[in-house]
Amino acid sequence: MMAQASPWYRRLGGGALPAILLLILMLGIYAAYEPSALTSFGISNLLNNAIVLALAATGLTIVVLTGEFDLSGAGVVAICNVMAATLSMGAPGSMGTLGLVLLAGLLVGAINAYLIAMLGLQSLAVTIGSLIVCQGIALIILPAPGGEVADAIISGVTGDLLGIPIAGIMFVALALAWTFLKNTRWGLAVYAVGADPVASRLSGLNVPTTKFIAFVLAGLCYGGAGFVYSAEIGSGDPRISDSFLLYMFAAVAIGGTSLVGGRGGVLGSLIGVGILTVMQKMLFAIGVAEFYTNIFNGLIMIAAIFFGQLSSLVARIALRRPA
Amino acid sequence: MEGKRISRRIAKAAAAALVSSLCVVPLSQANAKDHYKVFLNMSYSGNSWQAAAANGIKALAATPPYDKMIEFKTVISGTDVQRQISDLQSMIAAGADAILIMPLSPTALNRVVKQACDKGIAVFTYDATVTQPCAHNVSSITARYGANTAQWMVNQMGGKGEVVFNHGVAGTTVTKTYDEQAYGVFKKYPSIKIVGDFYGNWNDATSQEEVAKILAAHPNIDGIWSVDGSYGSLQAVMNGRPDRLVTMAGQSNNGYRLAIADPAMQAKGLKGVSSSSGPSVGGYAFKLMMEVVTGKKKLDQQNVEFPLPWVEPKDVKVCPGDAFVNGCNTFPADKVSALFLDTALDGKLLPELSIDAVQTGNPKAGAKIEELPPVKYADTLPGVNCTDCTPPADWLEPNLVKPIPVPN
Repeated sequence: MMAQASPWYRRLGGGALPAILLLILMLGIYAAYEPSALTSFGISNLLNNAIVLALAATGLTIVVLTGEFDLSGAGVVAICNVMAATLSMGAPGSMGTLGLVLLAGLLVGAINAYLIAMLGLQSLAVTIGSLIVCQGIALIILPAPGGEVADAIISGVTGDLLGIPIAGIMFVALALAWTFLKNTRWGLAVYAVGADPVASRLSGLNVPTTKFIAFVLAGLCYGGAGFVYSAEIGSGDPRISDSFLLYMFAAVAIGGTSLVGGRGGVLGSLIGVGILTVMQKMLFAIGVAEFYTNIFNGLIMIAAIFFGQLSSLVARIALRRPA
Repeated sequence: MEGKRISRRIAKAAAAALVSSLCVVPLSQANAKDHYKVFLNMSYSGNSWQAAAANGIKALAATPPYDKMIEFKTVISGTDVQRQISDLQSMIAAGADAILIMPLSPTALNRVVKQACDKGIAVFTYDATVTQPCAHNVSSITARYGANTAQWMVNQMGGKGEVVFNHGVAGTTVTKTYDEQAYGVFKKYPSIKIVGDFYGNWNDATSQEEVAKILAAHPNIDGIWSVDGSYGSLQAVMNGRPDRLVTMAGQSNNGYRLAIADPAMQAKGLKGVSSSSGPSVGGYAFKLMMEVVTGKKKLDQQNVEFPLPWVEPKDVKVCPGDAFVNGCNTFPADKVSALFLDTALDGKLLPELSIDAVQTGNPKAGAKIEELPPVKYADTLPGVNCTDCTPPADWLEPNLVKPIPVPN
């Protein structure tokens, strides 16, 4: 199945090339209309806007690559946000809160993983359930907006290190971690399991374990997203992530990851996150008025997904033609 | 190659952007300029309160001399906090001089609001509030609507009777604050019995439906306390028990004001006060913000109280024209719809507005911006307009209405 020659853009996560071009185009338009786009203020704002979705979309991508769905992300983000807003000023402190928040993400991921990978339940149904449970728990922890996030967390996450925004460092770290992970045995198995679970099982891959690790890693990513979100708003709100799920799936789809699994990757999703984030800025910069913003949002998303699928279309045509 | 051409164009655009960003002079203090960049950031949109507030602000921004001085833009962020944060950052980046916000959350915007303040941008909120101390909140949330209206009802009812409690929207600070005050007042009078309560969501249709249900179970109710959805609540009583109406506190819908002043309705027992937060708080906040930005006014405190609209039956005065002049405060039934919010206008503070202005956003012909009287600073309420602060000791007590003694 693998193409023999591996041109540079294939290595960028398969279908991501058109998305990269679109992102560059949108950035160009944004920068042309908004002089401050390329200042450090503009860039660090953009990265801070994007990093929450980037973390969450990374988690979702890993699960989707194995051919499963995961809707629990928005619920985990909500729990982690209210946890950070209620715990970080108290005994656990900043690092303790980070640990507890990641643990919560891990726990939800592990429960999902057990039910889906080990018991073989439908991932869509299971994760709808865990989404609703998580949102309910968030409302119990914090029934109305409030709470406070420790300053150390806020400055630690939204500040910069040697002049480089922390959010930017996290972006690079995500990309590097994925580049490393996808070349491990587990990473190769993820693609194989997503492309054809039966063939994978027959050729000796451990399908349940592969999926189990994917769901747990995803939970961890959602926990991280909730923690960073908390740092950005500095307070808690149990309904903060209500409209988040759609953007997570949009980022994954725009980035060229196939929603049936086996094709795509985290790098593409990161580009997808970039497109969604720059879109809001670009529409503001070119002055799209009031209600039309939503229409443009939708249209650009459809266009982005179309271009995202274009590369696989081109690849299929190219395959048909003898090289 | 198409790709190459695109990338060349992008390179050009990026280069142009770089050059121009180097040329931009940092904004000096906003004072004494002749041109201002002003943003209105709405969150929710699509209901009549929000539309009337936004139209009033737009009309004022287009009224001389502001029409020539202000580059005005409205941005609707929707109900997602992260989008509101992103839009506010865009406004900061676009070099805003002033931003007027309807905030989605009292706490979640604090960091971006601080960013704006640090750039010397004047940040004002209207109606809803933020706890970030560098912003100015303009609201009547501190004006004790809950305590005053409940006390007014108690006085009218002689301290006894059955009351229906129409909450607003669950989980909002407004609802929490007003409910606490109204409950506190009603509780002091043992002969006042709350026989039903529901979340009317500040909506007339919902309120009408719920009051009709309660009326079926409790045919003897004497009063309805509400924040909004008052006209709908009254309609339910008029349909279900047309000969015996109730004592009410509520919004400022034109139909409601006409009803409470109608002698035929009064003869059937209707006693009502028209109060509650009005859309004109948006226009007032805008005018105040511009006076501060242009250096005409200096605010010593963070929170400004917008006077609580208060119209009792004896105060209702029908206007002959399209605006509130000479103290009139209500329109004839054929002029506007029954649900039109009379508090979208304010004869004293916003004489520049007319019916057309708050319905279309166009300025009133011949109007000129008039200066505001001195402001009244607001009480502090923790979690509402400040964080580490104490509320006044009597914040649950009425301050506009004098309580009657508890009947034996």
